[in-house]
Amino acid sequence: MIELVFDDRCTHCGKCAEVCPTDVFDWRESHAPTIARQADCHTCYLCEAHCPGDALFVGPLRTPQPVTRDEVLALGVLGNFRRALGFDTHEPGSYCYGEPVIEPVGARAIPEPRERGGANAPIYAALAVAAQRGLIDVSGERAPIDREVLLDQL
Amino acid sequence: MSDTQILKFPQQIQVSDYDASYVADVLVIGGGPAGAWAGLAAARAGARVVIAEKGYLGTSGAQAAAGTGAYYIKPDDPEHRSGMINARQPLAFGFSDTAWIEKVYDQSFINQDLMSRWGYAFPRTGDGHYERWGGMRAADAVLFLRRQLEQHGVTILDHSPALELLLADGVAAGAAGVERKTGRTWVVRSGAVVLATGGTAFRSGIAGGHNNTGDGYLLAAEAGAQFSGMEFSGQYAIVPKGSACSKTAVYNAATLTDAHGNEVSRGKGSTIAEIQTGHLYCRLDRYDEGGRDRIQASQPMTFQYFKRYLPIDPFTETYEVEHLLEGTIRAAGGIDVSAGAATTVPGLFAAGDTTSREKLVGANQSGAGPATAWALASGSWAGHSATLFVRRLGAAAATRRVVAAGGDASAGLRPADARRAGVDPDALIASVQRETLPVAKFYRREGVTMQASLERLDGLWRDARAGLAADPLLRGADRARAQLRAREAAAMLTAARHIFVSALERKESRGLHRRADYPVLEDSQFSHVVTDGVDTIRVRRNPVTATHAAQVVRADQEAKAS
Repeated sequence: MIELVFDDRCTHCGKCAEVCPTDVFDWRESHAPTIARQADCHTCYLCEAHCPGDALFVGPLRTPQPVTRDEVLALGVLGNFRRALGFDTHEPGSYCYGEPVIEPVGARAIPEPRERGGANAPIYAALAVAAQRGLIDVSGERAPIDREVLLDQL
Repeated sequence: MSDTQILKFPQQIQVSDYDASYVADVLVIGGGPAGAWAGLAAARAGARVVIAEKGYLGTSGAQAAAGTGAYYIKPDDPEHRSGMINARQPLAFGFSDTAWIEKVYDQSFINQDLMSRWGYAFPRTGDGHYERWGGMRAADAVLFLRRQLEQHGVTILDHSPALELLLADGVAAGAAGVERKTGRTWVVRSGAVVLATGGTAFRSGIAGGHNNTGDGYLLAAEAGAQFSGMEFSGQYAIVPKGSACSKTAVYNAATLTDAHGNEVSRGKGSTIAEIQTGHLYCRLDRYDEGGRDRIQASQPMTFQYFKRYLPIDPFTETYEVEHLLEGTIRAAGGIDVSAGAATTVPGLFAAGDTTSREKLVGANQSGAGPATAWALASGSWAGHSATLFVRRLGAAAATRRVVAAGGDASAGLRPADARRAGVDPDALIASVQRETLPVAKFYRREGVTMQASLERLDGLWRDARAGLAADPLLRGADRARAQLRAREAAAMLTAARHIFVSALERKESRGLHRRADYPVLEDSQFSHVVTDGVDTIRVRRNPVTATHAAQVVRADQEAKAS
């Protein structure tokens, strides 16, 4: 659960109050947020992920975990979740957090090589069912998509 | 809908009664992966789309908190196809449908291909050439879909819970709700509605689960939709003691022991051990050095417990864990949908965890790989089908006279009698939790106990129906939040009652439905349990039409014949 806001680190951007899915914070322009509804926090850490000042501390318990500012500072964890996600250096969706190298663990779990932008990767062309029914154009190169195939009408 | 009134005075909706009013072709309620894909599919088919999300589209929902893999099948690789399709069939207890699984995973492939083309950075292999699809990361996958929705011109209403559906002659025609941060009321009139509100874990405390109060079940039930397989709901995750983090990948390489130090298997073994010995312990001792690094990097949430609360090395030291309900968020039961993600209510479509996933995973758990594939696929289908529905409706859609689906006695909004201050939503929710959260009660069920649970819940429902409402003296955001809380309590009551009615009907143990009084699989019970209703919950059986089941039977017959 959200436990502490470090006012001295807060940039007053209001992002935490905007993105918090459970509406935990109250926020006013040019102020640090207040934790107004702690009981509604569901410990997703996403306020921390979006906090540019690393000014928030979420405890890992699903009930309140009384903890002091000094204790949190001593843990040295402020911002560690944001950095683990890569939200400190990348736009969401434009990076991978975690281990970037995925070792193949077996033929079934890993896709075959897929050439980026190559001419011979017409993904849809191989959707045999759709192709047989004439719902997609299987010829030619991999063209930009303006209309995706929807299998619900098959 | 009232079951007892003879004369009905439907609550008519006046657009002028609301602070904000929108007109859309397709309204999507819920902004997780399923709702986002519904919005994208509808917008790409030319529909004007509004998405109303209780929280914030991008961080809301179980997926954004937990991150999930999404299954898919490669179109041109027979080995991969059959491997993925058959992966969970033995666990489905005959309810899965091979053709349906194939269609869902094919659509998941298409959607992930689109995500890749749009720029979502799936994990890559060492040389950087091969994308590993399926990796829908927490924190950024739904946020990425939000960017696409914005580029497709979709109107997103954040922090805007839908409180009730609107119907025009029984056809879904929009919804009304509130902005919970301001208290402003809103109404969306639309040609079709997609419910993508997720399942419910009855606020067990799992990360990302607080908003998942089964709101879509309440909306669907009030509109007259039917449910299937709600008894398949007894799904629990292992979490560190007291923690919210229900990420369970780490337990693939763990040793679990009961209170006496005896090693137990994960799943049934560990659950029974916790019920019977009172404690369950864990050590992540089966990781090699590289594995430890990889799991810590790929599961950043899991290890916060040891960085922020319990300062031990979980790879060498033992710590206590427990089971925490995931409910229908990760089980199979939900709103019954047919091909095209249509519910039994015209104009009402549903996608993702809020729907029944029995044809995909049968009587067992849905997640996360199948559930995420289903969110992508059913989301697309619901959005697409809704758009086709709107096209058939034509221009008349916007001028229809609409009424509130719950009528003039909607639980939590317009109580049948006067509001009673003693009917408190938090107390109602706590009462529902006493019937649904305890692992000793809800994991392995017993007829007499469930009957007593159901009677208590029915009593609470009558109270809620008669007198549950927000304090009329409240204003602004306080009022909106109080209204939301009342509706959430009503939704959780509805979900729990459908579960217990279904669970009492199924007199056997199958998959996630385990009964102490009927401990084995019964051939006579090989059919779907289907429910509908609000005040009175009706239950009936539908035959299984799954092709997998048919194939099994045919194979048996052929074996006998030869």
